[in-house]
Amino acid sequence: MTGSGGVRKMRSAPLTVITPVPKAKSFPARLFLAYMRRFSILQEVRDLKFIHFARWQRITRSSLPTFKDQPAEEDGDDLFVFSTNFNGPWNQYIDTFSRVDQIRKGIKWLWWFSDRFPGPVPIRNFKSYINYHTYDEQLYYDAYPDATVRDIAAALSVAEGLRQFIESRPAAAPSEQQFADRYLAFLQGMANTAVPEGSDDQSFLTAMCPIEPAASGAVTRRIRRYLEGRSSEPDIFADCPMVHMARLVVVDDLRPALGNSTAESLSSRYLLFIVELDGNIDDFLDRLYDVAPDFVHAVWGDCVGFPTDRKGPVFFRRYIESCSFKPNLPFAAFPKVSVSTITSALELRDDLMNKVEEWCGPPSRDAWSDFEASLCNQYAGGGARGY
Amino acid sequence: MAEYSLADLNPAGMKQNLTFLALNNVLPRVLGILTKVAPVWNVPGTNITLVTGFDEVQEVFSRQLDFEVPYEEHVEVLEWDNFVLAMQDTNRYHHVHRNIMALWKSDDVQQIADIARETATEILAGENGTIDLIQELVKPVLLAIVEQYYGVPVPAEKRQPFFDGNLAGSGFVFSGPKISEKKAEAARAAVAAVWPVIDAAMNDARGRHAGAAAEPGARGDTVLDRYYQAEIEVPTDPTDPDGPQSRVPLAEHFTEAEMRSSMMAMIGGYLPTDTNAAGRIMQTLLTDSEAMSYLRRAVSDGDDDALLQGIHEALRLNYIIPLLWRRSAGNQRLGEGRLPGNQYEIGGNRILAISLQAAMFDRRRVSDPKTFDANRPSGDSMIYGHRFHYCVGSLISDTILTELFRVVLKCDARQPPDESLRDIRWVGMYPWNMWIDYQRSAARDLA
Repeated sequence: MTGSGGVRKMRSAPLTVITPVPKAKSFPARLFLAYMRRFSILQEVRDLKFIHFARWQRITRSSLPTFKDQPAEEDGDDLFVFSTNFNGPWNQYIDTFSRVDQIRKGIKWLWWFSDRFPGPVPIRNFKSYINYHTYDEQLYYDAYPDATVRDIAAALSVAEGLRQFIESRPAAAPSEQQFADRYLAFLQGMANTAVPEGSDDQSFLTAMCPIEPAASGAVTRRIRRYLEGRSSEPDIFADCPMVHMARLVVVDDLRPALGNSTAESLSSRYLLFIVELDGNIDDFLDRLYDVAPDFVHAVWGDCVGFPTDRKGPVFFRRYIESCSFKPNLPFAAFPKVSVSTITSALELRDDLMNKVEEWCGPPSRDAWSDFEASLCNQYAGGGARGY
Repeated sequence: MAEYSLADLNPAGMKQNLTFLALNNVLPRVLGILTKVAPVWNVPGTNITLVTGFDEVQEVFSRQLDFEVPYEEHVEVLEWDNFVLAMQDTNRYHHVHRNIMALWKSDDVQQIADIARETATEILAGENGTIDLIQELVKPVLLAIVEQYYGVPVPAEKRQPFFDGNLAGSGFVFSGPKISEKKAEAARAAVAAVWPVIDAAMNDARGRHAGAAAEPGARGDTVLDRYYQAEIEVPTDPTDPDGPQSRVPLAEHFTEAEMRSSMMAMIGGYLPTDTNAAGRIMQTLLTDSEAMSYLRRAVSDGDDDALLQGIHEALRLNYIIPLLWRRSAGNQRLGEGRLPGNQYEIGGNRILAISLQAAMFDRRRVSDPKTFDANRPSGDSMIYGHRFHYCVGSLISDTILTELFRVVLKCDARQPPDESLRDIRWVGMYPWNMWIDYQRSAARDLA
C-alpha cells in the first residue's frame, strides 16, 4: 500500500495519507495537534519501535500558496496530512493502530476530525479508509535503508556501551583474566545500555508546491514520470548528508470522503515535499541545489510561481519557503540524533559483532587494542589508548 | 619624481582615525540595523539602494543580467580593458574567465603552498621574535607568489610602490561608482607603479620564449611561461567548430592585451584582498580566544580542513569589504520566488550598494552570527562572493592563507607584551602595521 513504481526495496516503507477535514473541525484539529505537541511526547508511538518518523499536519486551503496566474482555492475541506516511515508489512502496521489500546485511542482522536472517519475499529473499515486516502510516493529516500528502528536503537546502545567500556578502562593495565572478565561484562551489559540522547537539531520540511491548475495535467504527468524514472538511479538525496528520509508525492486532488459527492476539488495540483533532516532547512536546500541543480529545475522548474529563468539556490530556497508549513505534530524515534551518528553506530555495531564472532570468546588484550585503535581511527579520528 | 606610497598619502592622524571608525565601526553597525529592519532600502533623495539581507544579496549576485557591474569608468581611468571583475556576463567575459582558469590552474596549489610556506618560514626564522605581520611577512609572501608563480619579477626598489599601487587601485575600484577628478588622479598615479612591472615581465617572458628553447621559471613553469609556451586546439575552419582542429599558440587565441589585463586582475585582485584578509584574520585571532584556540588545535592536529574552516570563519567575522556595487538594468523586482507582497521594487539605473558583510550577519539565515563557529554550515559564508564574479582566485587565497597561518601559529604568534606595539595602524580599510610576537626557535625548527 505504499508508493508504487518510485519506491525502492528497503527496510522502511513510507506512508502518506491525506484526508479531508471539514471547515468546522479544522481549527479544533489544529488545537488538538497543538495540545498533543505540548503535552504528549508520543511515548506510545516510540515504544512501538518500528516508526522512524511521523508527522501530523493540518493544512488549510487558504494557506496553500497562491501565486500569480494561479486559480484561488475555493471553499472546501482542509487537508490533514499524515506521513510516516515504518518497518514491516503495511497490514501489521495498521493492525497496531487498531489493536494496541493506547495507540487506538490516539489514532481515534487524531483522525476524528477527518471527514467520515470510521474509527480504528472495525479494522476492515479503518484499513479501507487509510488505503483510500493513501497517496503514492513518486520518490522516496532513506539514509539507512537496511536498518530498522530496533537495529538503530541497538547500534546506538552498542556505540554508547563501547564508549563507556573504553573510557572506564582501569588506570593500571589489567591481567589477561581481568580483561576477559571486563570484556564479558561489557558484552552482557550492552543490551541494557540506554540509547544516549542526541544533541543535534532536527528539522521537518513540509512543502506543497502548486504544479499547475487542476484543469491541466501535462506538467503533472511529466513530473510524475521524471520522479519515477529517477527512483532506479543513485539517490540525489544521498549527496545531502543531513537527510534522514525524504519523499515527493504528487497530489492530484484532495480525495473526498467516500459517499461525499459535494466535496470541492482542489483548484491546482500540488507537489508534496516531505523531508526529515539534521540542521536547518535552508542548508539542506542549498546543498540539494548545489549537488543537483538539474533535478531541482526538472522537478520544481515548471511549478507555478517558480522563477523559471533564474539560476541559483536563493530562488529555490525562497520558493520552497513560500510553499512550506510549520510542522504541527512531528515525531522522531531518535530525536536529536544525526544521520552521521546513526550510520556510524550501525557500522560500528557490525564491525564489533563481526569481531565478536571471529574471536569466539574474550580476545587477548593485544587483539582488543588493535581493534580499538582501528575503531578510533575509523569513527573518532584516532585517540585510542590500547592496553 | 617620488615613488608612489600609500602610507605617505595617508599619514597617521585624525583623518585616518575617523576613516577607520567610519569603515570599521559605524558602517557595520548601520548596515546591521538595516539588515534587520530594511534588507533592501532605497536611500531617500539619492540614486542608491542598500542591499543587506542574506537572501537579497544572493539574489542580486544571481541576476547578473539585471544587476550589472558598474565599473566602466574605473576601467577607463585605470586603462584596464577586459578587467574580468568589471565585465558583464558576455561571451567575452567567459572567454577571459575560461583562459584565466586554464592558466592559473587548480593543480598548482602545491607549488603555491611551497612558496608561501618556505618564504614565511625563512622570514620568521630570520627575524628576532617580533614582526610587523603585514609589511614584513604578508607582503613578502604575497609578492613571492607574484614573482615565483605568476612569473612577474618585482625589482627591489619597486616593491613598495608596486604593492601600494595595487592596494590603492583595488580601493579605487571598490570605493563606489562616483569618481571625482581627485580620486581619478590618485588612482592613475597608483597603477602607474604597477603596469610597467607587468609590462617588463611580459616583455622578458616573450623574449625568452621567442626562440625554440624556453627557459622554465625558477620553480618550474610560471604562469607567464605557460602563457607563451602553450598551444591550444582550435577549429581550422572557424565556421565549422566540429571540423578538423589545428594547434595554434595560446597567445593567438588569448591576446597579449587580454593576458596583460588578466595578469593585472590576478595581481590587483589578490594582493590587496589577501593582505586585508590576513590582517583581519589575525586581528580576530588576537581578540577572540575561542577562535585562536580552535586554529591552534587545528594546526597541532595537522587538520588542514579544520584550519581552513577556522580561517574562513575568522574572515566572516571580520570581513574585508563593506560594500560592493551593482547597477539595475531597467526596473527590477527583488524577491523573486517569494509570494507577492514580500518583494521590493528597484527603479532602473539605480546603484545598488551590496553588503556581503552585513548579509553574513543576517540572523534570518545565520544563527548566532557574531560567535566564532568554525563548524557552521558552509552556506552561511560568502567571503568569496556568490555565483557571478565569485572570486576567481579563491583557491590561491585559501592555499596561501592556510600556509601562512599554519607557520605563524606553529610559531606561537601572540600579541606583543609591549603595549605600544599592540595598536594596529590602518590605511583606509587596510591593516597596514600589525605587530606580533612569536617564538623564533620554533621558526628555526620549521626552517
